[in-house]
Amino acid sequence: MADYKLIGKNYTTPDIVAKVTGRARYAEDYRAEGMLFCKLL
Amino acid sequence: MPEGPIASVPGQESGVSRRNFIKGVIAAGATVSASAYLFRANIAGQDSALPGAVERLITLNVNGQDRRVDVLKHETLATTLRYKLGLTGTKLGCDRAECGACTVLVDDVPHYSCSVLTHTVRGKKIVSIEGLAAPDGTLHPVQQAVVNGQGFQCAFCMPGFVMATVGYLKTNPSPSRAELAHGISGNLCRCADYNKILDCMMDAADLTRRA
Repeated sequence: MADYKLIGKNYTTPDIVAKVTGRARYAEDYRAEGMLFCKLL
Repeated sequence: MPEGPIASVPGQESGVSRRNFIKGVIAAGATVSASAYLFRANIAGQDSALPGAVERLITLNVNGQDRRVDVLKHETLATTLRYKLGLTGTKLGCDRAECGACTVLVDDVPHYSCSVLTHTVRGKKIVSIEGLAAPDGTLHPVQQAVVNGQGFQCAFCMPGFVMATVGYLKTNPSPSRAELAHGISGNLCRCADYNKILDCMMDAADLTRRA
């Protein structure tokens, strides 16, 4: 086991703290100036 | 050989070519959906589709701060939080009170913010996922339990689950697993990670009691 970096060890995914505090941004959370929206009905 | 209905036959062109027809459909779809989207999210406070709708400046207590914000009469709390106050940690999943991703605490009670009008929460204390951690960055016990257990996959539903759990644990600090499952049953997870989420939230109840 000692030869592996992750297997058999605890680790914290790099994005989990940002997600759990609401700082992580999903696609819907981005806005650009003058952004247009379009959807097929 | 008979040709398919969409193949063009020389000398029999109709008034509307296939290409123009498709262009028209796309343009109509874009116009309709753009107006629908503005109506839903009201980005950058543009005029509403409703005649006579006026924004009014009100004060909201969000995460312990009094915030002045222009709000439309028919604006939902989720819209205000996300698009006026920039608190995008509150997610909009369904926008129709089905999924619970938008759950926030209003006076310590979990509410679907997509189905609460902002004007109805004036003078009340609103807490969203951004307001849980201490100012020095110390995570709330429920947040810490999520980090420890990593019960979520994409975590889009996680702010709602965390807020619902925080609210539920205020009414029942020592729930059984079944009680907790019932307590947060108003939240849906499309990754279907419920078992690990419940593991996390039982751990969260434990950490909250000891905090």
